[in-house]
Amino acid sequence: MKIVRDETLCEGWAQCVRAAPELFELRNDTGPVHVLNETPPEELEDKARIAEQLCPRGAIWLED
Amino acid sequence: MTTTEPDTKLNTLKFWAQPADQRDAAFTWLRHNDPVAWHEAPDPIAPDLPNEAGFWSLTKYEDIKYVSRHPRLFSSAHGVFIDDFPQLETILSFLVMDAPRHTALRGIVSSTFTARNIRRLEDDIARTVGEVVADMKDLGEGDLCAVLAKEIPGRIFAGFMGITDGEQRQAIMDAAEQLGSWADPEYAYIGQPLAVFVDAAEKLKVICREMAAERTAKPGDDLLSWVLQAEYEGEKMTSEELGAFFCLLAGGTNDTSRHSNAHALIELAKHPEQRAWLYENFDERADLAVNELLRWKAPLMHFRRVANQDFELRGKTIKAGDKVAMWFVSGIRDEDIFEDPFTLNLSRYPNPHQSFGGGGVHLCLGAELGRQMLKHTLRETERQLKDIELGEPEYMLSNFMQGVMHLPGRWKAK
Repeated sequence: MKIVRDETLCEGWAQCVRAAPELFELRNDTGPVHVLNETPPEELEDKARIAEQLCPRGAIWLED
Repeated sequence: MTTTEPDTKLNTLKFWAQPADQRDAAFTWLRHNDPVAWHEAPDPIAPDLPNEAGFWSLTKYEDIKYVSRHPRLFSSAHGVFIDDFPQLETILSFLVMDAPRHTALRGIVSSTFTARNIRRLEDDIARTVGEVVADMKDLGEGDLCAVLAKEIPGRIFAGFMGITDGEQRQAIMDAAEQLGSWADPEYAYIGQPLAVFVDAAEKLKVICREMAAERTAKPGDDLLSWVLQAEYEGEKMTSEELGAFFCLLAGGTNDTSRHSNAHALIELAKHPEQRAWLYENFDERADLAVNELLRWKAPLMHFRRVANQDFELRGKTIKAGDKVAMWFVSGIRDEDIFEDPFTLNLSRYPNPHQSFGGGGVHLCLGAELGRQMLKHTLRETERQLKDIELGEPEYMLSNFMQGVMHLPGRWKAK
């Protein structure tokens, strides 16, 4: 699994950070969410799917 | 599967005058039997201005999500309600635009409202909500919409805009309420729905002009001063553009949140076991509870788009130029997405509800602010009030807003 994030769509709503703090982080005062690990280990794949589902901007998707 | 067809005429106000559970039954029927349904033109909003065209009704979660997230296929620039309000852009600004204009105008205020900034403002929000409850707790009885549900977003909005004058604040709150109540009998004395809507917008624009003159002369550390100095397409906003911008922010902040506050009070009273679960461990459970309360009673029931090209969906052909309504109020009950959608379950997770829209570029800019306001309303009412007894709520008549006009109640201060 690979996490792809469109930084032009991301507005920093941080739903992904709540869903999967191991994978996403808000770092700076502005700018898009930071992806900590683009290729999550198997045990975090479910959390990555929830993050994708909850992103209200559709800025995160998962590739095989 | 339901076999007898309930009244599904979403284009008539008669449909919206039914209680919510009957409307829900109609949406369930549509999801199961006709998820891409055609409806004739809505009841007129003015005697000499019939609504021009019928509309497609999307009632399945995934369809709503798809349309929301493909703004190049489905435009916002031709109106966003099933009712055809003329020149809506002059009242609701970037809500009624596509890229690139939408992107530029939304961009002026987007950083103010995103999660990061709203969390930074959480202490201010909590304090303001606490003050509102402190001011009403000794009244003992009254309309909880007026003294609580409406007052909270009213004061928060005033805070953002640097408004200190109580009369001006009240005028904005009242006009914002009127803006979303175009079909409700309470405002019929003003005229037909179109007249109610335009009159409310005019009131907001007059206030905006007064405030803009003050802030231009003496800029402050408030959102309006910020918007006044911001540039759009290389220039400052015109007075007309600014007025529309203000109407959108005033309506968006005040009206939706006021209704979700009122619904939350009503629904928690109806579900005492859920209420008890929440307050057993409020700090850990509030975020979940807020999302479920928003799913349970979405204030905003639809937005619509217009198809830019022919589009096939579940065996139907949506033609270029057709109106397409996204019924969020149905998406949040979709059995394919939500387990037991007709059960209020405050611990529901994940809860990808569509009460802030179906996502994408037009996502509700106030989503995080709305969540925070509701959370602190729940916290402060519990902290400061007891023995709350609710009377019969008066619900709004509308095809757009699932609203509460009045909520009589009695309470005691803790």
